Amino acid sequence: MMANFQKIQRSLHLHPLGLMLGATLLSGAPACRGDRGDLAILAIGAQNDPCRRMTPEGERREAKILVEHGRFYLDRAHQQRRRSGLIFASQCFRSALSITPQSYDAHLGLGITHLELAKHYSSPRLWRKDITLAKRFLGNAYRIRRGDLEPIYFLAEVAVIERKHDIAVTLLDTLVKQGAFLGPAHVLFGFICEREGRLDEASLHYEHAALAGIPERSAVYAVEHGFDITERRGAR
Amino acid sequence: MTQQDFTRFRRLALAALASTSFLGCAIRFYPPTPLPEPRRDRLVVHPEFRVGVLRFGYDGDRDVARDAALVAAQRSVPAVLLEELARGERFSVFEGNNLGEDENAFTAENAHRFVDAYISGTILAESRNDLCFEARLTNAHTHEVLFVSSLCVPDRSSGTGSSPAPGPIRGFAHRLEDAVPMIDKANVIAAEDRLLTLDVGHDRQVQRGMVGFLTATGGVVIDPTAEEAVEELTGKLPQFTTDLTVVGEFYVIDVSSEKSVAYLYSGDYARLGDTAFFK
Repeated sequence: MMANFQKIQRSLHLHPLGLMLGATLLSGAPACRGDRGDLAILAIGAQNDPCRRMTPEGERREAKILVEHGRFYLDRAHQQRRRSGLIFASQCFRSALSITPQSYDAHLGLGITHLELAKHYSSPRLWRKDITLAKRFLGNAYRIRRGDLEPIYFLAEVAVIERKHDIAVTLLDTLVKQGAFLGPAHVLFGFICEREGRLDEASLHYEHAALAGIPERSAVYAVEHGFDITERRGAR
Repeated sequence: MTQQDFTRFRRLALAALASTSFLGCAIRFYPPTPLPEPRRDRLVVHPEFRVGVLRFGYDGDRDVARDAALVAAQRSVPAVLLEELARGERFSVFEGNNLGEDENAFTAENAHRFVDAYISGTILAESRNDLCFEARLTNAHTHEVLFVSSLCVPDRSSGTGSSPAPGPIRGFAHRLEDAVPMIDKANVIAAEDRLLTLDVGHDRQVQRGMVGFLTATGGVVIDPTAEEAVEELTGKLPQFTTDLTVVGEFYVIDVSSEKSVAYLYSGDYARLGDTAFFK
């Protein structure tokens, strides 16, 4: 395990070719999971090398690797519900953006990361900064691929956190009309209705979400909250 | 520990406990955020219809190994054809015999690694005055013949050389070019993994074996209400100019009057609303 870690560390220092090699080794080395954070920082640090001379194709490849790493950390943070992975993810996406400022994937990834970070705080005073950044990067992603439905969903989540329910409902309506993000969109609809005290409507949306069944975590949330609502209605 | 220290410690412990449970609640409070969809790899494709020319064969009784005139004809006809096709703008032309080596050599079997279609042919008859041949334009992936025709041209050879008259071959090259009509673009109206249905068919001269590439315009809906809502939420943001991202290459496998079905031979998958550009 240790040898593997050192090999990766060495290859990362041999920038810029080593960055590629290190990044490749990093993605295929599950044994040194605990050290991934350090390696990522090392990799990102190598990005700032002023001697870097890369071809446009090389830069595109480098940005793609960074976006993949960002997604890896986002995925891990998502599964383990930890904040540390989100910080690494945001660093990776930011480095990708510094190379390719018009990258849809990097803007979207960074927007989702700040959205997830904002969800870790309870008070508006704490989440305001992250929500502002999430709005900016998700908005950029929407403008880069004008009309893409993916950022619309995440912007609806932002609107829900900001309690701008009318905007969230407009955005979610667009998604449901197009049959995109059905599961998560109905979960969010259900959440809005539940928050506004319309429990029957919320229950109906959770049912729709559970039937859509994707992704798994949204479906589980829908089923759990469906039960919650039924119990609360029973207690009344 | 004094009573004051104990009180301070208890307050701190309570504050820590309260903040932890409060944060925990906050995390559970909102519905889970789904992860973004898997990305489609961006491809670098050759936008023009690539054609490679193979050396012609011979279908007759003469011994090719000992017949210098026949060998010369086998080389000269594709060479003249290549010259004429290169002058035109329809195809991007590759001289097949010099591409690759050994097992990677340009042959009909592995032509798809280099080109979209290849031209092969057969010398049908060769005499002192005439040279007759048949040429075929074949899809490099499916080996389906897109065009086939034969031609006899005056041979102005001297000695063992062969020099077919370029005039008739020029006309033949134009017919070859017309065999693959130029179609601008089409929309993907249905997509299932690697199979995609396009909104063009015989009505727009689509033929089986035609090739093209796919750009990622799928999953996009310009809804003015949603646009307004996005702007209200995010405020005015800078506009971006974006190029079309190529995410796949396809060839047509079935054509009906107004629709055609294509197979995505490179790239990840097709999406409803993607735009197909024919080569």
